[in-house]
Amino acid sequence: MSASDARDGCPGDELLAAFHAEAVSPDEETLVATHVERCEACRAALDDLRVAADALRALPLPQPSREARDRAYAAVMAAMSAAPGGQAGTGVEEAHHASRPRIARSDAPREREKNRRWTGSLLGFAAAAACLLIAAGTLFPGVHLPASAQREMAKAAPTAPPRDASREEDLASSKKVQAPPPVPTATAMPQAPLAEKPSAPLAPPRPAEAPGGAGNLARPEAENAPTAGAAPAAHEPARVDRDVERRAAIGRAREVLVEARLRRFAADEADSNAAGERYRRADAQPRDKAEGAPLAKNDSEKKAKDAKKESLSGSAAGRGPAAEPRATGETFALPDGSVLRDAAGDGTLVLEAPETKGGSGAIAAVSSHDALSDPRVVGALQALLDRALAEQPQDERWARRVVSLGRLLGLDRGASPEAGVERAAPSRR
Amino acid sequence: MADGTVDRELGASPAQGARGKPRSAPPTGPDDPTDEALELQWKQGSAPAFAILFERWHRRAYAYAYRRSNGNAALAEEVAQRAFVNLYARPPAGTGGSFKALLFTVVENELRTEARKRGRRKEQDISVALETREDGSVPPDAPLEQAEDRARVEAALETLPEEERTCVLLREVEGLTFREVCEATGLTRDEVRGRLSRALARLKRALGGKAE
Repeated sequence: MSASDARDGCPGDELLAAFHAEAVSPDEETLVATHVERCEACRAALDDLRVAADALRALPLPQPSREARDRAYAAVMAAMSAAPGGQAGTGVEEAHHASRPRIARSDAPREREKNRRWTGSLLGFAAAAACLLIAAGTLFPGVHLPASAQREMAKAAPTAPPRDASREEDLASSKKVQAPPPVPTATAMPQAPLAEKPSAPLAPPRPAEAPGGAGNLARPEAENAPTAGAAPAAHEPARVDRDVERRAAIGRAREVLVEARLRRFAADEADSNAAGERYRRADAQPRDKAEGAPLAKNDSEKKAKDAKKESLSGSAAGRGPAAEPRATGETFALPDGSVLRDAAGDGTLVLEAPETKGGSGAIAAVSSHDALSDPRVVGALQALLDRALAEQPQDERWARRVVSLGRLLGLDRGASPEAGVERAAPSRR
Repeated sequence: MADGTVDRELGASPAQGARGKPRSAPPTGPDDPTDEALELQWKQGSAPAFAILFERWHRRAYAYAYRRSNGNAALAEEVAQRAFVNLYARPPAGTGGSFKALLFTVVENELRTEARKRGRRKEQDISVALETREDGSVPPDAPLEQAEDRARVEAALETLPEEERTCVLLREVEGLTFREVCEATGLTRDEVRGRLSRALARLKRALGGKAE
């Protein structure tokens, strides 16, 4: 080892760099440190190394895309769900399979060919979409849990059963297992606007139980909903729990919407095929002078088709015969004077606020950001969402309502999941 | 190299602070459980503990894989994901190193596995690399001089031989100890030291206009 360079008695570049990287022995360290103190050239060289290393560390941290992160989390969750009951290797395979991007597969020519026979693959596609939506609605929110929720999860964690007996045996022999370090306890956090108790008339019913996965991850110790007088630390677990449940329900609602779209698509395709067949038959028929007969038949078929389409679209929009007869233009007054309106009558709720300028009483749409600046509005929206979650039947109209409320609250994944979580419980990180 | 080097690094290294080496780590609050506590719980079977570790470290694993693969975002995504899934499915029985070291060791192994696979397929994934070059690049509002510096460093990093790049990233950017770098890369101490030294020297030269 060249402790020092023969040239001028200075340590060589390699030794200096090793010294900088703390990759030297104590003897070398003493030697170099002593030398650097009295050698300006070596000090400058060392400074250059520091500058280079600092520049390296100052590079912006590449960030994975949201989709990539979600896929990775879904893969880990899949591995987690597969691990307890079965072999670990199975979990890995399932995880990688589950997290592969769907787009790439559907782009393959063979896949496209299969998709043409959509009647056969419709169910499979719906199942895949449902999986994605369930993952979006239930799994991903757990990733963005705030620090306090993480603490809760960590506190609850030691009670979880071991995944693998053999692994436990290995661990039992390790020092760490015998003397586990205590997990820091949660401390009180400032109460976020969403934690406020909704007003009495809008008191939410108990929402539906969230499915496993994220719900299990974030399951707090306290099951009861927070009360206005409770300490902030007691609010937080229940709030996170409710948010997880809400997200899960929003995921189910989105699933309903996708299924409805698929049904419509299938119906349109069938109509299109039937129409083509009719035209072919009509062309094949001998026509009289007035060409009245075939046209008359076509007219009646067209009317039937239109009626069917109307029925389907009406069902989709919540206003047709298949939909529950509900009043259109349903409105909900919010505490700040703004109004939630089902303007289209299809279940979609749009937030409107009274025009403040001029006092004309005109209604103007407001953004969810504006609405969420008022905690009373947030509480009311949450209560409405909780109420909607308990509604029956859970049809397309219901789904629209749930998704639009979730979007307003930032709980809808497509809207702004991170912002939603930040609003729910600002992280102290 | 003498064993004293490793022993010294295993303990608290006060010299690090004196040399101005910020050891980067995901930000955690004072009340957050430590990685060690979470790792212990995870190895006892706690899925939530692992989820928290994922939350803390996935981005860093991705960033390392991204830089290590010269900006191949698709590869970095795949590798970071596989690292966590494999880590969860097959946690190491022993204890000792930090979770960070463990994670980067797995990521490095995945990168090598991926490189072998690609080598077998003789695949030149240039298009992916070109497409994703802009990920994580300089923000548009960054000062020009700063952006130029970054570009120089990034270019220098890309031109480093793979092993040098690996060593310098693990040591200087990810903050692994010298011993952890040896374990993660599978190189001997002298090899790591030599690669670190050469990589730093190259980076220094790349910034020569400013630093010298």
